[in-house]
Amino acid sequence: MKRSKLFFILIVLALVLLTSGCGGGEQQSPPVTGGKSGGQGSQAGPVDPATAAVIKGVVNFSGTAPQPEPILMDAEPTCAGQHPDGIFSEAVVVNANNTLKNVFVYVKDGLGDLKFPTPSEPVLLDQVGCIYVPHVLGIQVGQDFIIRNSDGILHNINPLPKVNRPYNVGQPVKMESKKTFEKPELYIPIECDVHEWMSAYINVLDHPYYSVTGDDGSFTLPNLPPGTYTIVAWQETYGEQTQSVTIGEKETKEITFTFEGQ
Amino acid sequence: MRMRTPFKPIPLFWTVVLTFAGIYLFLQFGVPYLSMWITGRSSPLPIPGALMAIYLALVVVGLIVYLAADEGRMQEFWRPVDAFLRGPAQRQTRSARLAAAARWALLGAIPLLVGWGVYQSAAPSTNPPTALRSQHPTIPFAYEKLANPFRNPDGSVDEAVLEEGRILYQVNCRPCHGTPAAGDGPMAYGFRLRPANFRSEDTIATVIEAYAFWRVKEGGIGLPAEGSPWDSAMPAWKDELSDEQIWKIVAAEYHAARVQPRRPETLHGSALPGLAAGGAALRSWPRPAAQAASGEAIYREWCAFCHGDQGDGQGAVAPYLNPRPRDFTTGWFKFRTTASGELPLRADVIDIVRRGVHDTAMPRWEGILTSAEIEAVVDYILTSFVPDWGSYEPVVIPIPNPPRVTAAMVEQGRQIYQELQCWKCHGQGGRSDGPSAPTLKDDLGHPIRATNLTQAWKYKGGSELADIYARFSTGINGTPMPSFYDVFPEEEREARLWALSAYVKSLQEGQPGSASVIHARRVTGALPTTPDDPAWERAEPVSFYLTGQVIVRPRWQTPSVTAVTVRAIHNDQDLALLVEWNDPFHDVEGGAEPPPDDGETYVNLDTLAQAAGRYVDALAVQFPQALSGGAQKPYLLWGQPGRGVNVWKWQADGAVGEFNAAGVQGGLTPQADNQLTAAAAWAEGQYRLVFTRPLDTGSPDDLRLLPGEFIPIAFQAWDGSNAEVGLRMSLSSWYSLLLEKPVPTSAYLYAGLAVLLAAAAEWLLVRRALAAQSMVREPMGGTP
Repeated sequence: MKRSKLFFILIVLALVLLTSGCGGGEQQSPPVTGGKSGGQGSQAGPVDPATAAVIKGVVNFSGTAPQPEPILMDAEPTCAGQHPDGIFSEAVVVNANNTLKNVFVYVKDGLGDLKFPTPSEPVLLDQVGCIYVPHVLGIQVGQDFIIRNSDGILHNINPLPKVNRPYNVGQPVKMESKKTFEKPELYIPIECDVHEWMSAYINVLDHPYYSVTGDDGSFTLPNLPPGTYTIVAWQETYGEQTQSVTIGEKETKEITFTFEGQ
Repeated sequence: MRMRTPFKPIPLFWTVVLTFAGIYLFLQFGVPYLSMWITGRSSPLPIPGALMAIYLALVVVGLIVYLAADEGRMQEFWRPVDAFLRGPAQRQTRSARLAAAARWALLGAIPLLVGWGVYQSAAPSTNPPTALRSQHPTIPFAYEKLANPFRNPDGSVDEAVLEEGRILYQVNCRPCHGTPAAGDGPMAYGFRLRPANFRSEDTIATVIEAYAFWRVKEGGIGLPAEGSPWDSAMPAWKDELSDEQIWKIVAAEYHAARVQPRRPETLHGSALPGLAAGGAALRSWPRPAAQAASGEAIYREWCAFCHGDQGDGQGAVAPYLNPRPRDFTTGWFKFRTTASGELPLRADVIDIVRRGVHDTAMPRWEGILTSAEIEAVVDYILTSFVPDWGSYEPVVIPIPNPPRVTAAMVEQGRQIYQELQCWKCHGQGGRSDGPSAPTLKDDLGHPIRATNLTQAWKYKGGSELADIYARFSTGINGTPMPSFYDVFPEEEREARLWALSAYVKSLQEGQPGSASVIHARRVTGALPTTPDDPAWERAEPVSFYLTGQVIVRPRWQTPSVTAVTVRAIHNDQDLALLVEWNDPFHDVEGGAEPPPDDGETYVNLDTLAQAAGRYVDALAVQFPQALSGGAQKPYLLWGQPGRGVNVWKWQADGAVGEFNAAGVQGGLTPQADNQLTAAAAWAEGQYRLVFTRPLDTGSPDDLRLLPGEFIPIAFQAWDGSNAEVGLRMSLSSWYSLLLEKPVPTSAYLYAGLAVLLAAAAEWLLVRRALAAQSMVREPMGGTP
């Protein structure tokens, strides 16, 4: 009797030990990246950190800044009330230091056959006060794309890609929808049909080397393997500008782009 | 021993009556179905009324002859009638008393029935007079001897000619006569005199090609009076197409309809050799042998002129259509059972081809193509044009069976409609006038309108409950309509979406039926002058379809206003007419000149998009300038020289007035002064307009509206933000307006007289019957 009881306890113990090994840790709520710059290549990727280099710089603006166009939100009083000082189109945003905001800078060429893992953190697009935040985003193929409605009024998310499959999802309340993009594609417009002034652009890449300029007009592309790269800066009104950059091991190179106002 | 039948013999009277009734029922109901079975047609063939009357008269005569042949039979026949007139011999038993009561009831009812019958024929009728129309008036002499130069002696037509003719047919004729030439094109629904169904055996298959050539060239307005030209929307193509083009179109339309024309009779020495040799088979050219067509061949014949040779929606017909033909190379399909953005299932596309897409140029192919053909062409399209076809499994959205709709569901749906804020685009009343509606664009950047949920016939994907459920669940790819599938948690989803579907379906209203007469109620006293007056509740509303003006250039096949609802009230001095129609945008400013004629037979929407202009909303009511008293009316589009129309027109910028027109060439001529007034209101996507005018204005330019007459009436509408101005408009066929006339006292007098006469006749007959009986009895009673 005693032996069988012992046997039984051992079996149960063994099972407990085995199952505690499986299942993994709890899911943490993933840190949300604002899309400002791409994944830092933090996972174990094909890039050797010992030789990784950095390309960074600013996007300048020269010439006369165009008059910002006001957005009339009369059709949506809930949102109009959130912008008592007025709200303007983000087609061209010139910062105080004469740099441009919302310029998408990315590596177009030079990575060869390197394959990069899909980041596990999602990219978030928020709808706040009937404006998309952020205005320009980057995302990797297969990465989770979370669209959040923080306004609690009806928005619909209608991206208009040409290579990826489009979709149109209604969000009448505060909620989140999750999507992904299957193929690389640039400059995909995102629209809300309920509020025709809402505009955002998303760029799908198969690598993490992209950066969106912020209030100081700067961008950074860290953790690059040494080599020669084609770097493109894209602004939705002024288009693309391209530069070729060669970097050595552990080098930090600074480049600038300048867009001319009309 | 006499044979005993198990039944008591029926009196001869009833035998005769039952025989007559039996023959009548057989003719009325039996013969149509028998004929249907014999001829193999799809519907019963009723006997015409005049023929029925002849048959029944013959039966009656035969019965009378039978009865009169023998004196005994005649008496035997009248015996039950005499018994009825005399009444039961004694009143003691209960059954006898019942019989007596029944007799009195029947004796009382007969004069009343007679009186009622006389009243019905004396009182003014509310049924419009039937108009007899000859479907095939005689071909004019000038056209009789013509032959199609493109038809080869063996009856065939060269492929190159057919190809050209097909494009010309699909561009010019398809909007009414339909892509498969079955008379059901997208504009056909609005015309009371339907475009001819060429596939039917009794239209072009019964005539020589010269006949079709005449009809195409001279149009509806070129018909002789027995063909009722005033109702025919058939354009006169002689001013726009050359003879050669018309012959090609004729060849192509026969080919599309899969019928052969009659051969002209050849004049030989001997009479009609063809008939002697083999009858009907030789009267038409032999049909080409039917071949099984590949999916590609079917596509080239039926689809390419809209959807393009490369499947990119750039066919020859595309610039005239809104919405555009599907561009298969995008992979966007609107009506599916898969999630938003996904490719459709093969079964979804087969479904679309089979049932067509309402309110668009995509026809219904069921019944025209066989199932195998539909599947073949769908497979060809999917594998040749749709990118990524077959490379992944789309996410399927299951559409469960619809539940029974309850009032609670509809109320719940109403709340969901508010929560989901569908009204942002579709408006509070569903008339697509929401705050976001003016700026809606499709995925290609073209302006697009939200569907008007009150008009069931405009739901492109179908207006049944399950169709509506599918739209919310899958979204409509390529348009602003999103999917709301993920809004609800899974356990509530089905119930909530069905409730919303039930609410949307409850918004549907105002679909025109077969009624063609507006009854103007007669009141005494003041007439309602505003749309909101509660007096309008007492007037009966009638709805009519409007369709695009496709008769003369600029032909318009993308109309906005497709129905009006009309009510009328008069008080012997004035007429008040309430007209309601849907228009999502209140266009009160305009005045831009219509763009110049671009020379195309239909308005090219690409060139129209480039021409800027603001136009006002407007509505017109059209009457003949004078009632001719016969069936003849002025032409349905602004009359014709010699037979003009009187038009009441209202514009949203406040202009209102009476116009006259005598044909399209002269346009609408305003009257110097007129007594027409109007009051209008626009709310939530609907206009409500009251016209008021004296019945008799005293002016010869105006129609005198006479109570008791069936006055022809027609409607035309313009939606300014749909670029409608001038002849770019919607129009309706001729209907009738009947101003209620009080029943004349003579009708009552005649009815009363009839009752008295019938009663007197009854009394005489009863007395005679009783006298005859007492005469018969007396000798039996023994001598006093």
